[in-house]
Amino acid sequence: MSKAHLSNDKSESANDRQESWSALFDSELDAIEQADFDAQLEDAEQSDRWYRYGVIKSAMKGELNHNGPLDISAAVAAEIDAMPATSNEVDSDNVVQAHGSSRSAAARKAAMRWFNPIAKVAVAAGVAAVALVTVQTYQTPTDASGVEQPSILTNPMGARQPVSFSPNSTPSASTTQQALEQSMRRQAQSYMIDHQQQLMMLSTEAANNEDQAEAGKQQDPQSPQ
Amino acid sequence: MKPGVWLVSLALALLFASPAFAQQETEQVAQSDGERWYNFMSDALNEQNFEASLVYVLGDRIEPYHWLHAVEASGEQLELIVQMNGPGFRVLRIGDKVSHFHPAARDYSLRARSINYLIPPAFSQKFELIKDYYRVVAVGGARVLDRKAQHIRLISKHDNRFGFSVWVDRDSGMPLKVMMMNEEGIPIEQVQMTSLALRQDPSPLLEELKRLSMPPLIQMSTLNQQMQSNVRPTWQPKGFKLVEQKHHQLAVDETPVDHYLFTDGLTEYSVYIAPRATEQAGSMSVIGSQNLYTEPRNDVIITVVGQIPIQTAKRIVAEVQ
Repeated sequence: MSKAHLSNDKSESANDRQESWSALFDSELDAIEQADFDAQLEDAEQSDRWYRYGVIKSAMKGELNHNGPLDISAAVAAEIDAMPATSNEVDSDNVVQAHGSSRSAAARKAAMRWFNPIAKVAVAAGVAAVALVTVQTYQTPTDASGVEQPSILTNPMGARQPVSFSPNSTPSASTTQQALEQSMRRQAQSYMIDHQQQLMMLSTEAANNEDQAEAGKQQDPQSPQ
Repeated sequence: MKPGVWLVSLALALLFASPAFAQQETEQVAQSDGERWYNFMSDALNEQNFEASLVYVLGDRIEPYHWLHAVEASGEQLELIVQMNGPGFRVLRIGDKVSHFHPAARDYSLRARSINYLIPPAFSQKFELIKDYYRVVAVGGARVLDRKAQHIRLISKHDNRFGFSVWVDRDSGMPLKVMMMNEEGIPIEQVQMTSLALRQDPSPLLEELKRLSMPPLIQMSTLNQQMQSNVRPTWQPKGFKLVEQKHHQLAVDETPVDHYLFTDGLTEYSVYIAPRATEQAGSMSVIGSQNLYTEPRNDVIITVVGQIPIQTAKRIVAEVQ
């Protein structure tokens, strides 16, 4: 087997392997043995599969859209549900069954650990095609001037996103201050995620408008005055 | 040659060599050259079959990606972006349908003409669309990714937005390197290709992907809900137009907001007006590739998010009334 052709590879052991690769791609490193992981990495054939698996993932096993341990952001779902029924339509060719129970409890726990403490943000981010991860948190040296100085770094999981966060107040080490900063950071994140979502919807609408071809005129947004 | 002819040609030479003339001339040439290169790039992004590896750099963070693009005989485009580190987030576009695969959330599809990711969607459209607000200037040649590249700069005609530097492959038109600069010329985010393979035919991998069944399509409501607050943004940087306004809730914390979205074709920003929570302390700014500025005022909190300088964001907030 030179280039692994996953869809034709149905032997029992191959299936097992695929199972664990799938787990890896779902960030469930804990769910498999580390040694097993190393062995797989050494296998050149497998590493080709690694990439391909990343692409094709669960789809070939017919469990496309199997749910993560964290439900899709309930809020996002609710928002979508709240829209008029006609606009909440799911492509009928593509109705997919959720396999919420397809993951072990251990895997679920591992994934939870991966995403905490901002699990909720990460979930919504999945929807927004962007996830923010707090990579580094540090206190700035006390700066009496209180000028804008980054005190917390937030980093994107691969999106065009923020780097530094600075409350416009004098940094202090007090716990209340920290709690406040925490909540401000969350707030900032939720705005940024929403902005990303809005951008996606914008191109969505642009695509829809293009379909209604000749009516092309109505796209004349006026500025507020 | 007669002396008279010498004199005339000398005079002509002097005239054309005069600094003012030369400068004007070269600037115009550079600009139309720049436009040509920009459009060469946008054609390439729509027409080339390519397979690229790239790194995305934001501050001290580096993200490797794989990026594939193919054009079917029918003209339909296939595009795939795979995050190579970490959870392995993937986006697949087939025609005008974009599917998102994220390990932490349910997969879903959206209708969209482009993947709003890594490179601004405007780069795959004609310069025409942004020419009112940006100048594009051909700067010079450079070697990028072991190829001959043309450096072009996208410069805002007004000072209140970010600029771009792009190195375009002289042979293929592909953007080999992209930098977004803030108002001080400091790079904020960068994309650098590390390998690029151009193919005659679409990648077989993308063909294979086409046969998958895609996650459910989410349709966004186009219904505008009534705004709740009686204040609204009254100023925007020249060139930005309001393209959407609606009242909705933030997905993460369910804050009800009045939302206004502005775009100039290349960048966008949002203005949010939310009821003020008691614990809201003071103003705050987040500096990064997306800047955020938020400020409580009376009974509302006004927040601006987008790829605009923080000073611009502050002014937008100040003029919400």
